[in-house]
Parts: sequence; C-alpha cells; structure tokens
Amino acid sequence: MSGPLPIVETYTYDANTRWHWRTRLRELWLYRYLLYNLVMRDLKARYKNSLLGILWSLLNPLGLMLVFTVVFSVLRPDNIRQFPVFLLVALIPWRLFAGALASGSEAIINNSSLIKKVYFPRELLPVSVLLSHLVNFFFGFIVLVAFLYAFGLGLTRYVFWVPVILLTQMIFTLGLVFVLSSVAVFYRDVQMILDVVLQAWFFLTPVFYSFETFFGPTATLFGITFDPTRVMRWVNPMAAIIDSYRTVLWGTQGSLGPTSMDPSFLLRTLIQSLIILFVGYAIFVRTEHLFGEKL
Amino acid sequence: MLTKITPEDTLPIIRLENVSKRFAFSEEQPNSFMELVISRLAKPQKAATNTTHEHSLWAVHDVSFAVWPGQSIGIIGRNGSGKSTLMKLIARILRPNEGRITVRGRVSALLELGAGFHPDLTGRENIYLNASVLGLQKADIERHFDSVVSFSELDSFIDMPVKHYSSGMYMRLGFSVAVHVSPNILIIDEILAVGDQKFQEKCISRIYDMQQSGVTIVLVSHSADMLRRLCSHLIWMESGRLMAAGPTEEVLQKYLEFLYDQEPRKAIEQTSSFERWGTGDMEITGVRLIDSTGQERTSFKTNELMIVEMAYQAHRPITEPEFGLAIFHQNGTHITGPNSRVGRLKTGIVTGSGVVRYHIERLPLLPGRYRLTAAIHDSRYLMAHDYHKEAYSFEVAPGGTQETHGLIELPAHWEWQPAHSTQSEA
Repeated sequence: MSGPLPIVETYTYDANTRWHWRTRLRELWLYRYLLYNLVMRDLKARYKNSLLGILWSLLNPLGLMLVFTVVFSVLRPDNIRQFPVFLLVALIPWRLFAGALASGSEAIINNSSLIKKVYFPRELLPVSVLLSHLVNFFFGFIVLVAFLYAFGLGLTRYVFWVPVILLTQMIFTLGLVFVLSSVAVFYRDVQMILDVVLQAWFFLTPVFYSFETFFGPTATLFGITFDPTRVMRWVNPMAAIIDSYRTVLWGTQGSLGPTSMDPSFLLRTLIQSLIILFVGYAIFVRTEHLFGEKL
Repeated sequence: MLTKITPEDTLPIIRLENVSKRFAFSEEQPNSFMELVISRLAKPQKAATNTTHEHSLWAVHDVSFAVWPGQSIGIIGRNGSGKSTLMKLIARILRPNEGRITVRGRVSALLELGAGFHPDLTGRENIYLNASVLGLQKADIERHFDSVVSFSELDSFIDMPVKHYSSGMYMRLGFSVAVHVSPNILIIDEILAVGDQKFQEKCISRIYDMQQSGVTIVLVSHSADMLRRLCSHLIWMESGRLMAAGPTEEVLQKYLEFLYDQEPRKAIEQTSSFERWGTGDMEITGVRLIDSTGQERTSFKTNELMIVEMAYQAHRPITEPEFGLAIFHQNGTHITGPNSRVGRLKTGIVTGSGVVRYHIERLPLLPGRYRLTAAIHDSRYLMAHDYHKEAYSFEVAPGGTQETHGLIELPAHWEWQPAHSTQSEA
C-alpha cells in the first residue's frame, strides 16, 4: 500500500492563465514517459493487425518507387540517371511529411476520450504522431541506403547534411501539425481539405521530377525577371527540403553523384520553418484550453 | 455563499475562488467552414437580436470552496446541476471563464474508467500507457505493476488485447490503474458500478485505504449511502451554484428536504405504466396511503403511522380472497411482503366493493423512495385475481429519525451492562 507522493506541483489557473515556457517545459519533462508510450502505441497500433508488421515501412516506399519507375519509363523516358534512386531519395522524406501531416491533423480529435477525461500536456499528441512517423522514416532510410549502394552511388561525406535537413523538415512539419490538429477540433473539414492539398502539394514538389527539367535559369513575368526554381523553393519549403536531400544523396542534374549544398540555402528554409513552428505552436497553445469542451 | 470546510493549519489542496464556467450553445459555434460562412452571412440579423448571452449556459456559477489535504468530499446535486463540470474544472480538463482554481499535487480522475485504453493493445501495454497518461514514470509503473494486475484479477488475461475484454474486465483494469498511481487527489465520478458486488466492495475498501493513507478524495454520487460511507463533507450544487457545503449529514438533510419540496404533491403516485395481470374476477380499484389524521399523503416520515388502503371490486362472489402488499426500496430491495392470510384477516365470501387497510403503527422505513405492489390472490394462492406490480410509489422524507444507515429502523433499544456491576449497589 503506497500513500500519496509528496506534493511536487501546484497549479493555479484562471481565465487569463498564460502559457509560460518554463512551467511548460518542466511539465513536458514530467510527462516524458507518456511521450514514449504514445509513440509506441502509434507504432504498435499501426502494425498490430498486419501480417508483415513493421516491414511495411520498408515495403511501402519500395512499392511506390516501383510504380513510379515503371510509369515514368513508359510515359516519359527521359534520361535522368539512376531514376529509382532519384525517386526514392525524395519519396521517403515526402512520405514522412505527408504521413505525419495526415495523421497529425487528427492527433487531437482521435484522442477525444483521453482529452475529455484526463489532463496531460496536449502537445504530446501531435509530437508523438510525428515521432512515430520518424521511426518509419528511419526504416525507409535503410532501404534508401541499400539502393544507393546498389546503384553505385554509395554514401559520401555529404550525408552529414541529412540530420540538418531532417531537423529542418521536422520543425516545418511540426509547425503545420500544430495548426492543423488544433483547427481540426473546431472545423472538421480540415481532413477533407488536407487530402486535396496534400495531393496538389505532392505535384508541386519535385519528387518525381526536378525543377531544372521544367524551368530555365530565368523567367519573366509581368516584366520582372526571376529565377523560377528559387521562387518555387522559397514559396514551398518542402521543395527546398526535398531538393536538399536529393543534392546530398543523389546529386544534381549536372553532377554525376552526391554533391555539396549551399548552407545559406538550407539556413533560409530553417528560418522559415522555425517561424512556422513558432506561429503553429502559438495557435495550438491559444486554443488548447478549449479542446476539452469542443470535442 | 462561501462556506468553509473545517479549516486546518495547512493550505488547502483544492481551492476554488468565485469560479464560473459558461458553455456556449452549439448553434453559435459553426462546426465546419460551411457553417462558418453561413453564420457570417447571417450575422447582420443575428447581431440585432443580440443573443450571445442568452444562448449561453452557466454550468458553474460563482462557486468557491476549499478542500484540505486528506479530506474526502462528495458533490451532490440533481442531473445537470454542474457536478461534472465542477469535476472537470478541478481535473484541469476545462478552464474557468471567471475565477481561479488552485490544485496542489497530482490528480487521478476516474471520470471514465479506462479512458484512453487502446483496443488493439494488450492489458499489459495499456497499463503502461494509462499510468503514464496519469503522469507516472516507468520505474513507478514497474513498481506498481503487479499490484495493479492482482487487484484487477486479470492475471491470466493481461497479455490479451483489451478489445477481447468484457466491459466488466475493462472497467476493472481501468479502476485498478487509477487507484494505483499514488495520486494526491482522487476524483471519482459515479464509478462504483464496477462489475459485480464483490469487486465493488473491493473498490470501496481500496478507496478507504487510500483515504487512510492521506489521499484527498472528491466523489460525485447520487447514492446517499455511498456518500455517507466515503465522505466527511459534502458540497451541494444546484443549477450551477453552490447551495450548501459542510458535514455530510447536514448537507444531505438539506438536499433531501429540497428534493422533497421540489416534488409536486399528488395523490398516491401511480407509476404511469406497470405490469398488471390476473383473472380480473376481483379488481383493485385504487390504493391510498393515509396518515394518522385520515389525510391522504404520498410522503411520510419514519415512525409515523401509515395506513395502506386498497379498494376492491369483486365481479363475482370470491371466497377468502387474499390481499397482499410488497414494499420495495427504489434500489430494488424487497423489504417486506405482508398478506392478509398470514395476517389472519377473515373475510368469508366477498361480494361487491369495499376496502382493506394495512396499518403500520410506526413506519420503520428510513428516508428514501419506495415502491409498492398491491395484489389480490385466490385463497389457495394459486392464481392472481389482480396484480399491480410495483405500481405505486411513496417517499419517506427525512426528519423522523436520526438513523441513516440501511433501509429500516428496527423497533429496538440499547442496553448497557458492564461485566462487574458492583457500583450499582452503592
């Protein structure tokens, strides 16, 4: 028989309770084991009733790669070298992004029974979804590395860029997931819209093509001359992120293998992502006290 | 309205200061973008009628109270009085619109047993998940794991996905986790309908143990019995406001009197639809409850005189009909079932109409609601002429006795005799 633990925390709240980063961080730390369990729950639940289980995180990108390779070698037999790798290098990060966004947007509404009954830091839900997709990403990455060697590209020292690119991507994705998961509580159409948006986004991101094949070095619109590739990457951070992976793992159109990346290019995307995370988290924090009554 | 509950030298563990919570009705809040657009278009007319405030409901209004560590308080009130909202405010699930709440220590809320169990995960995995939702770390859970399992009596099912559990097993596991996480505060919302009677008793005794070890308990219940057993103090909510707070018996009396006053006065209440069967050779045409002054009433106090009067109509001559009654407590307990044969009432052959009366000199029933069955049987007890199953109800209002436990007060008295009673000589 164990008595109550000594009282370690006191919380006071009223209508004007403001988020405070220090108390919040302390609380997140107290609930760290919950985060681990939520990630495990996501992973276990996802593969619990499937025969091949976690193997699917390897097989799924392979299947997609196969489909795209076949389709494009028929439709558009252009001469992109090592096309399966060209594709896989973009497809695996894209799947992390799209998957995390789709299930992350449901992170709050799918856990309404928990939210209505128990208090815990709500941000753990979207974060745990993101992390469980990250675990899948690592499996996919193993497949990717195998393919890099199979196609004679191997890994170069530029692979050390990958953690930085991945971090940028996670920051960007988390920011969006925070917005979507909280807005979805109030407007259930978020899922429907997201479906369409993700589809469009996929085509606007150079996953199965590269911007270089479409755009010349400059274009002129309304009398303004600009570099269309730069603009696309600036407008769509995912384009910048995917291109970065491709540059350091596969190379560029002109190169024969992986090549170095312009650090300032990634830095700009990182800053963009941080702004989105900041805004996304702010929206989440401002609305989370309503989750308990709106769900 | 602020009523303090036994102040002690320590700080309160739960403190509410002028707390209000308002819920906006859903019509105000669009649930999709489409509704949002429509509501924006319709805004001009809506603004004119300025409905914003009329359409909101104060679920909790200006409530203040404090609970000190180790106290057990109960919250009573009718449905919709704001009890659950109050619990959710304390459990930090809702944020007040006005006022301030201070809670010290970890809260384990039994608002719904097994909330957050994942059906595909095993009992074992769900214990870890659920305990970590309540804020425990891995080492703590491992330490308590065996006692959680043995308490839930699910040892042989613990590695089975919980979707294969029965609802009773599910709740047992949920309860077991919630009471083993060493909370400072345990919030219980009408949960003690867990599985069978035996397990319920086990839960209650576990709650006692937690009380003993200093856990603060907040209990919402409609069961006066449960509140008496577990709580030292009560808070009574009505329409979102705090009506009274104080020692259990005091508040409970006020509450029961209030409920009694709220009820419309009627002649004996006949349940709108009841089961009725019999040959119909002899009919019960009415049942009345009469007090010592000959007045008809539906509410009596313990130890008062109560006469149950049954009017009958015989459609053919009946030899020695047997009149019977049965009294049930609202919870279904059959308390008594007197009949005129055992009571040696001789009627011979009965024709036409008339009444029989059953005199209860001192009504032994404790406050509560009761249901009454009236019946006329064939003298050999083989068949019913007319049987009105639990067709009538009455109430025993508080005030007739000091006794509070159980259902009846026996006609008895206490006596004291010390073993060596030499002093009585002096």
